[in-house]
Amino acid sequence: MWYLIFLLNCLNIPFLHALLCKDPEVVTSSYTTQDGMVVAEIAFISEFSLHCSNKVTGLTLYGELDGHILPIMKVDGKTKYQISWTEEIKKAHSGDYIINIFDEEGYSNIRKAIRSGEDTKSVTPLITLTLSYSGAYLGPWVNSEFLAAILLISAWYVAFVHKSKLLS
Amino acid sequence: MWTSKVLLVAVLSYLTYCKCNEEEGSPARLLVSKHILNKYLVQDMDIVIKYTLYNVGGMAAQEVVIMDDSFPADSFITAGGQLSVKIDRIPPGSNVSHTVVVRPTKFGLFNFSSASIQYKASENAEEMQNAISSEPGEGRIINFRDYDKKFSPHVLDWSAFAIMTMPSIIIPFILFWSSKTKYEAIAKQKKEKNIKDS
Repeated sequence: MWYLIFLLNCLNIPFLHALLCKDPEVVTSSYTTQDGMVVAEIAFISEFSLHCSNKVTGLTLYGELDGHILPIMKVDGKTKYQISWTEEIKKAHSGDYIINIFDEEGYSNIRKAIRSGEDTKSVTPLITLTLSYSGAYLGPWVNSEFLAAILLISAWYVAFVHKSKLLS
Repeated sequence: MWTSKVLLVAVLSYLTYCKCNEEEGSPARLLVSKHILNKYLVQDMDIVIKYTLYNVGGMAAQEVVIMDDSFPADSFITAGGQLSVKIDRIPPGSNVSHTVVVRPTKFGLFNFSSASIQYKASENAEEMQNAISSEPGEGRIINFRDYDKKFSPHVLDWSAFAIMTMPSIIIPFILFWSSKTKYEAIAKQKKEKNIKDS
């Protein structure tokens, strides 16, 4: 099968070129868990729609994040896709996560690059997604009751100092 | 002698070939787990659900569809991700994960049941293979108020307490301060007078 595809590709058969997405345009919506109090792991979810100028739909796509390959799910089988992963709260760093999206040709190139230890940046992705994560809320810095106790003790201390000054 | 040896090698190699062929050629089999990655299940707060699919078969699973109908629309809203997705291919010996975030709109006991999976066990398979994921089981979704009572920093409550206690501290302090400055001024005047007289 692959030999046939390779042969057809060599022969410059137009139908194969129809499978390649030209001038990709992407619309992204992403979601990350913000509250680290209730969840055990942070979920990173990015949903995107991919539109090609040559109207190619239903492409098989793969994502790459920090040298790891992530599968991309098809949502409606046409233009909508989802990429998602989870990370432990301690390991998840805040900031931007850059995800490179590849088609099947790019996927085989990136796999070769990862296997041979080459720089993954040498493979040009089809599109690049940015998922920003502002960090998870892990509770207040200082407990309110602790702060209230500190304030009360300081008020008592001020009063005590003044009282002792008066008495002396 | 030679012929028997050659025959033995031939039989062994045939058996090995058959075994390898059987392993490589066995249809795709997916093991699917559904996990809830939460410490607490709270009303109106995120519940992270992770589906992990592992292909233990010898062939790639094709046209894999993950469908989770276990979250009724009147009790849950999907905050992130999709509960019905498709992946073209899962190669043998590899795993794939999918994550969804839902938010329960009601509280109480809820049975987190399995998701259903459909796939083609081989490239030429005509029929779809049906599978179900593991079941996370029953979980109690806590009322948001109860959770908030226990875990919120209670900033508003404590500020109200501070405002209420402020008069009883500030008023006596102001009275004390005014009389103190008054008596200090008188004492100072007396001192100055004494110095002048002497």
